[in-house]
Amino acid sequence: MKSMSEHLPEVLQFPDRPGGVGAEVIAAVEALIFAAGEPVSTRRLADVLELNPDEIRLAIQVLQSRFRGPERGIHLERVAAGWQLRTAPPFGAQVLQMLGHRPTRLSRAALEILSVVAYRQPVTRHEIDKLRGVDSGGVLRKLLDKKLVRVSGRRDEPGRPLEYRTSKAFLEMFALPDLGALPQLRDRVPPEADDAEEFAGEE
Amino acid sequence: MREVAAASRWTVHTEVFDGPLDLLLYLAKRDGIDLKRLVVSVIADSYMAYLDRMRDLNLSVAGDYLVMAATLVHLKSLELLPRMPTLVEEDGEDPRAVLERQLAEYARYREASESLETRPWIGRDVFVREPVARKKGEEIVAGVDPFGLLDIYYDLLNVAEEPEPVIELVGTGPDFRGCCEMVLDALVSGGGKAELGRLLRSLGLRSTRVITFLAVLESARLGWIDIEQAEHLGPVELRLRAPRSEIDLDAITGWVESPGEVDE
Repeated sequence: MKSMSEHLPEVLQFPDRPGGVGAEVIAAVEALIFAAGEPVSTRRLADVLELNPDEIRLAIQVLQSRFRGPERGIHLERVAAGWQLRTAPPFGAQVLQMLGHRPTRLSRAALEILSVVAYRQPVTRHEIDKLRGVDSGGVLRKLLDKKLVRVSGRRDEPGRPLEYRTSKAFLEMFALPDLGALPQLRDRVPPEADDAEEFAGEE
Repeated sequence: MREVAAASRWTVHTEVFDGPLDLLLYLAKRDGIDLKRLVVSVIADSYMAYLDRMRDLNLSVAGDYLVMAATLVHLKSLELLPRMPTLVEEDGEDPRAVLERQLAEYARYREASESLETRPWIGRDVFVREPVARKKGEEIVAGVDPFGLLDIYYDLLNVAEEPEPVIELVGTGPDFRGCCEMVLDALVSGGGKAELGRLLRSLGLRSTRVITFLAVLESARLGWIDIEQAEHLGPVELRLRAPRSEIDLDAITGWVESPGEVDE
């Protein structure tokens, strides 16, 4: 995300020049993103403001670079296929203290299950258990309750087991623009179905 | 150590390790064992020693750990015996390779989960505003918002300042079946559609409006009509679902007429 401001076209800094974007557009985009709270897509902004998506993109670039200043406690981030204003990470502890909240916590088991679901979705409960070598039912249920994981359907195989996927809330929770932004798994080898069968036999 | 544990008689439940793979991973790391070339005899011994220690400490050892112990012992026995190529071929694959791959696979997801851990989490590192408005489509999903119905119900009770009836005639009050019929007729004359608020306001007596409201609910329950509200607090539309001719008013069961009304 840093690359955006570094390559900010000069024209954006001079919105009055042809091809730039007007101050009122920038202000309007800022207002909408602030009011929305949740991530807003470029398309939605364009629809509401009745502007070309390219204009919105330019306005967002300008805003992003302005929010990135060292004196800013709020950043404009690309999250879950939209744009969202978020407090700057260094002040997490202070914000928590002011709100009187306890920090969000996830157990290691929960993070493992989230990773498995995120990288292998859609995935069945049996596949998660097999991969982790331990029962994941209870923790998976908690993740469903927290809406970080959702049921996406049923696998077309005997027993018609439920399939799980990560949710939009998952992307928001971990500040991910989309699933493609997940860090690359180390030396990823596509799991072969045969191996899975064999291990199932050993259990 | 055994004596100490026995004397204290504590049962400790702990989640130090998230299952046998987690423990194996820890042991491999501790003992510097390459996951891709498992020396089963070494790791099996470490694993058993660890389980023993857990038992000494009176930690309850879950079944998953014991299954893994059995697998490791089995692998160790295979390793100690001279190789019989025919057998291996028969199995299709070296069971050790299967375990190695499973461990490697698990290790990859463990790493991935650690990278999730370090991301800026909502509610821990970063904070966002709650949306000001309700999310679009969240509570008005191809149906009706029950509170919208409730509002109309209260409106119709309060709105029209109803003149006090001079004489109340017992037994000539609105009858439920008649109100259902009236609702259906209103829909037919409206081209299959009607707005609930307007329909109710067109009725003179409060009691009639109340019964008609219930008649609308009953008609929806019987699948004769749909009740829809396109937007929050917006108008509530009624729509006829079945042709009027196919509707049998005898199906009404949601209303048991009080004795006072039966004797009309």
